[in-house]
Amino acid sequence: MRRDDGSQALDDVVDPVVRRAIHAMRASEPVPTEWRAELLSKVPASASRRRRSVEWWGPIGLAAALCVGVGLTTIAKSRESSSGAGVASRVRFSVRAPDARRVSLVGDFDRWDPAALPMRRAGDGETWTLDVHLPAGRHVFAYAVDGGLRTDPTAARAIEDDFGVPSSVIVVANEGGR
Amino acid sequence: MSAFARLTKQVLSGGVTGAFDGKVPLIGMTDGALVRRTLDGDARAFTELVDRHAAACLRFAGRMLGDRSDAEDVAQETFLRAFKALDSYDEQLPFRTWLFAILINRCRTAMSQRMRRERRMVLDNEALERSSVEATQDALELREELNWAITALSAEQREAFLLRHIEELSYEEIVAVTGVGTSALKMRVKRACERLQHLLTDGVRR
Repeated sequence: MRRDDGSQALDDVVDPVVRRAIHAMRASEPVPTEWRAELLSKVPASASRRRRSVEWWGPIGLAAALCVGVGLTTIAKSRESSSGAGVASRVRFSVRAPDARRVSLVGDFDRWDPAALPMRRAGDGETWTLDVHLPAGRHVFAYAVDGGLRTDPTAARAIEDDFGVPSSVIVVANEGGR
Repeated sequence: MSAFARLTKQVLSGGVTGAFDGKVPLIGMTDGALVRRTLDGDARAFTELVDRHAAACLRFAGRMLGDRSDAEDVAQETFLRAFKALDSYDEQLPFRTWLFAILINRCRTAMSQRMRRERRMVLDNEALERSSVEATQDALELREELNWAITALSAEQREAFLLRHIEELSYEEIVAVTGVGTSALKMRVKRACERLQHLLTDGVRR
């Protein structure tokens, strides 16, 4: 199918005001991180689609993270009232990693993409935290710390380490706690 | 030994110095190739498709519906429906065009569902705050003006205008995804441009 490009389309428009408007409206806003994570968490995951990526931030970071111990803190989960049944609840993830350079939350909800949910270093300089909205249900997750993976000792260990990837489990109920 | 353990051992022994074995870089792949990889079970491939097309879907839905929250819902639904129907995708059609066919239907459904609600355009302050570019007052006013003007068009004109001039689809593609004839589409786009010119030049709003 032939596709003419935008410049050709714009040739149809002679009015400078409309041309300026078109240029302005073509600008895209950044895709919200939480929207993306929520979408990816909803994508059905068949057995074959649940391959977990171990293509993290490079072998050096992976080796370093495996060699250097990283402390984990308790997951503090705060629930917020949401509009509509089955809508995501806010969950706070927290991990202590004082020497880490990059920490992110990975799991089924972001298709194990370490770029999707970067965590932020807290004021103490040692803890990394992130609040995410998760739908009710069981979620397998881990922390990606400088390329390596860490489980959360306060959470249940996932039994389906099909690729040998350490992972934890959090269950988000419709109401109540974890 | 699991794949991960094998990889870890390779890394620690210095046996891996470049990209990980067995992982095909997705950057540069065509959308069609990503669809095939998704169907083969590569979860990263669909994520890549989302990353390539999410911004355009959100932009189009936002302009069509005039509400950021509604646009996000519709765009999510679009990707989920696309995922479920992925094996029916025909590479004769650009993936983006195929995706937009779903998106347009979802937008039309959303609009029909809220016909009784007051049509409004909400200036999305959150989105503005997220923008990496610091918007000047003039830019904010321009954006608000454009949002107002685009929602002043009829739904048919708005749809045709956005697909043609903002999403830059060819008329052949627009015909394919909307089911509207070429002549009618061209007329809608022309009328939309005339209406926008009038709205933006004469400042009827003020």
